[in-house]
Amino acid sequence: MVKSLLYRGPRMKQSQKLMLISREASKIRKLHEAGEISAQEASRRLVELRADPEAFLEVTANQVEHTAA
Amino acid sequence: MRGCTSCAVRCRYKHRGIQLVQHTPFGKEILILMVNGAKDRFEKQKARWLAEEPSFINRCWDALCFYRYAFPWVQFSWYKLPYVLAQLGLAASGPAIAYHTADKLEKWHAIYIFLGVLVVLVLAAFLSGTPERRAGRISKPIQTIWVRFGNLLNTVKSGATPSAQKNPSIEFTLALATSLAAQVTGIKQSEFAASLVLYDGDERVRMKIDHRDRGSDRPIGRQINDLETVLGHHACQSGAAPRVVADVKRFGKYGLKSPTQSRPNYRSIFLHPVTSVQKGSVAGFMSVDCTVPHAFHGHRADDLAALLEPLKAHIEEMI
Repeated sequence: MVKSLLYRGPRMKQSQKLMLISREASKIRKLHEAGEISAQEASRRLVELRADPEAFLEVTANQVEHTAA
Repeated sequence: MRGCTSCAVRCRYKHRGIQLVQHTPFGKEILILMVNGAKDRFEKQKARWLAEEPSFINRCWDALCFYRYAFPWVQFSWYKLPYVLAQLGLAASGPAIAYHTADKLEKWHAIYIFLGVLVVLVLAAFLSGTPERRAGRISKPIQTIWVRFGNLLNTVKSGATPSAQKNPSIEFTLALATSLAAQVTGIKQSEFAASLVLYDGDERVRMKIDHRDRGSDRPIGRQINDLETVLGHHACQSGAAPRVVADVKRFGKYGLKSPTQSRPNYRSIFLHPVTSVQKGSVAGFMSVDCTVPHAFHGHRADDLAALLEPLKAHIEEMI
């Protein structure tokens, strides 16, 4: 909370962040539905997403960039 | 500033938007200006809410309000009184004994020491509860429910659901949304309500509430013709991203005006626009509201956005 209040850099808008979280959750669910990841893996990814959404979104964005490159 | 149209007296109030019609000794002027002020306040707060650029002071204020309402230990309880008195006694005992037994300790020094010890005790109590709160935030059963609920919904696609069963299916889903919100926030489930508000027609000038969470006694089937004061409508107009209303009281009189003409008792809202699978455009919004202000502050909104996703997907299949 204190870290968030004192952060002075560019800030992601809350709606944008919520949108990305919702999209990531949807991706996890669809991957599990398609049988690409197990229930445990889906659960683990959701835990990661909920525990630190910013870090999870950053990792996902980096993975997408890496794949594109 | 404009003068009154009938008596040309310069008005003391700053006009906001609507022209003053008549200046009367019975306070009509003030009434008109109050209405204008409320509308102005609503518009200002709405623009600020949509822009999502709170100042540092606003962020601090939101955080303080969140702690005020989120933690029951801030509120008075007779059961907690002995604990509070014990902590005060503990903090005061050292300086009090030292003051009465040692001649060198001044009265103000003893008070400063007491306050210092008290601050340390309060901080220690807050920090010792942090790991427990963090562990409680992400519980294993909820993760499993989320995954299995996704599996379940995958087997109940819209094509397989008879049209007569679609409405009950949406109502049960909304009831589940209130349960998830209660789990995430730690607030009693009776304080939550969920509803699905959809556009009525392609013109997007009217909305209709046909679905509430199962068990809700709030009215359904009512049409909303004045969308200007419906925050969910503005959220839908600005995209498909979920939004949080920290406290509707902030929007003034117009914020507290219920679209269904019933007396609203909710203070905070989590709004999630829903997209029709068939049309591919935003069809309305799902709202989870709570009687407690700032109920969806910070990580609670993040959690809810993630956990509500399968429910939202199911509703999008059903509408």
